[in-house]
Amino acid sequence: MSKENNISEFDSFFKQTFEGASSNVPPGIWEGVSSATKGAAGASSVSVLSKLFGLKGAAILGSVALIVTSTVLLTKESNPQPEEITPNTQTEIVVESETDLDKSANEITSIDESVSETNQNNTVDLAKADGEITISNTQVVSDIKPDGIGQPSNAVKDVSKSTVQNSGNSEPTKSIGVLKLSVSSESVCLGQKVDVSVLDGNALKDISWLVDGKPVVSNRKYMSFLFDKAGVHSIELNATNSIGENLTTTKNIQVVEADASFKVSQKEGVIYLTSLKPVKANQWYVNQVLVKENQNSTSFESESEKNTIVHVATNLNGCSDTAKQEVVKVANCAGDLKVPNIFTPYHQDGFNDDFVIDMPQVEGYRLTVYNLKDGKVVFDTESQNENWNGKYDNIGAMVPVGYYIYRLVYNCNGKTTTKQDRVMVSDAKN
Amino acid sequence: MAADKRDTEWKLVKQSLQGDHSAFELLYESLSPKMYAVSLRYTHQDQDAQDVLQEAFIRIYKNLKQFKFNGSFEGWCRRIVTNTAIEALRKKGRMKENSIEVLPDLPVDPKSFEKLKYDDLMKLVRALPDGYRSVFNLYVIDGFSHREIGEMLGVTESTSKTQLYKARLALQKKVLETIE
Repeated sequence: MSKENNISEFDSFFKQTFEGASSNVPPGIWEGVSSATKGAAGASSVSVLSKLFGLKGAAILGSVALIVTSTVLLTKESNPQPEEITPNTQTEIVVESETDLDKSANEITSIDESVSETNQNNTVDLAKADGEITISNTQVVSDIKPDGIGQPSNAVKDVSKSTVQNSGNSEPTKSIGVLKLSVSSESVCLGQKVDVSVLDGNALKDISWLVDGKPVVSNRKYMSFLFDKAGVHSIELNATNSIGENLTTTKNIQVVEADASFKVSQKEGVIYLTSLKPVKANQWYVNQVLVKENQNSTSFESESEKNTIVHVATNLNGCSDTAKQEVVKVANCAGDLKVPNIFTPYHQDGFNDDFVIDMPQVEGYRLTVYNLKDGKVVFDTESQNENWNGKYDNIGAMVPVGYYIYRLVYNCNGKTTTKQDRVMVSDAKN
Repeated sequence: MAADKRDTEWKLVKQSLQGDHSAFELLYESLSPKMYAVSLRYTHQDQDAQDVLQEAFIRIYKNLKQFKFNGSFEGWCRRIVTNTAIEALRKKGRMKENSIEVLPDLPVDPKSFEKLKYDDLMKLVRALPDGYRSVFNLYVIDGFSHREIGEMLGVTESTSKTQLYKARLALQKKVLETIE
């Protein structure tokens, strides 16, 4: 019994350890897979990415800014109110260019002016599309007199539903207080600032800010925040209106991180670069020269001993990052490896009689030659000094004329390196 | 999350089927580390593991048409890597190793080997003779039955069982040696 248990625990220990495990894949394997499978014309990585993620190539976010306005309306309880006007919090999303911010603020002001000129203190704007209702409490701006000059022609027309008469009330006209918080964007990339402003905040005082619950020492109405960590951050605005009520509103800002980190591998003097995260658009710079654009991975032949690689990437979340690595070229221990693709053992004339591989002495050398037709080994050696003379195992009969596959394995800087290609045994003279 | 991964993989498989070779490269990028771990587990030499991985991915590409889109693509690939490894071992002809020493029945306290890490276990498994290693991997890690293993390896069901028994003993012995 206990032995059975031991066995199953033993098994499950191995199973848990190995299941779903990953190991670092040495470079070079993909090249082999690629050359064996690349029959059909392949599209570029960019088009794959764009198909995969529905992007139009190297799409860059447009210059359209998302203006998000949060409006908190508070009413004074003692003041008679129409039923529709209740304390309300809502978010209005207007897609406009950033410069329109002032304009929209002006529009609000103009409505306010018109109302104050007709001595009304509440407006209800139901003219919005999609059934959205914007409710603005009137704020009587002190420098506009109730019997002001000029007629509120356009602004009044814009207010489609009624304006509420309050003139007969015993209460004098009052500033009730509006808290409108506008942020430049609810989602930003790490390293991008968020601009926040209190719209129409003339009547507000005691303005205070809390970011992620912590007070910020400032009573300004316009603020820029820069977050140093990705995630959701809160911006809370507190203020007091002219009748002493405390108002508060909060905006959550999503801060998204980009990652341009990349891995480097080297093989026979070629440096391979692969972005660790998928990219929407990117640039690879080697020693300040642009070598590739919009490819998840690239490679280049290293000419200098030391290379500075810079990867500028826009990730799928639209955020950009830059990563830099210094890459020292690993000495190519095979030197200038020269392998002939043909030799002529049938004619022993002293020229090209043997299959001679021209390379410096290396460790872990092994040369195996296969018959292309049946895959059988015709020659196999671990001695670098032994050349193949075209005979089976160098001692049998001459192999038939034709193509053979050789596979050369050797250690290079502690890594096993393989070269595989075909060689022709020819009966030509030379 | 898992469904997302599957959708992405299926999408890439479809694009590969349409001849989009870079879609296949992305599949290779994401799957090769796991497949290499499988390949290492079945082979003794790194070079063999790399050959198996390369051959397996070529097969995966050439057999994409046969993927039925009704399960995990990763699982499908794992099966191909396993088969490729087994075939490679059979080709080498070292599966029927008879120089099997009779191993004593070693009681192993399960707690004692819990401190062994992935790399240690990998070394132990890879050091096993090909036959033991194959059966142990197929049965214990990859969940094949003795009947299936028998078919894959061209041996009888009872040989598979015996091999598994001996593989466990050999591993237990190695575990004890490693811990000591």
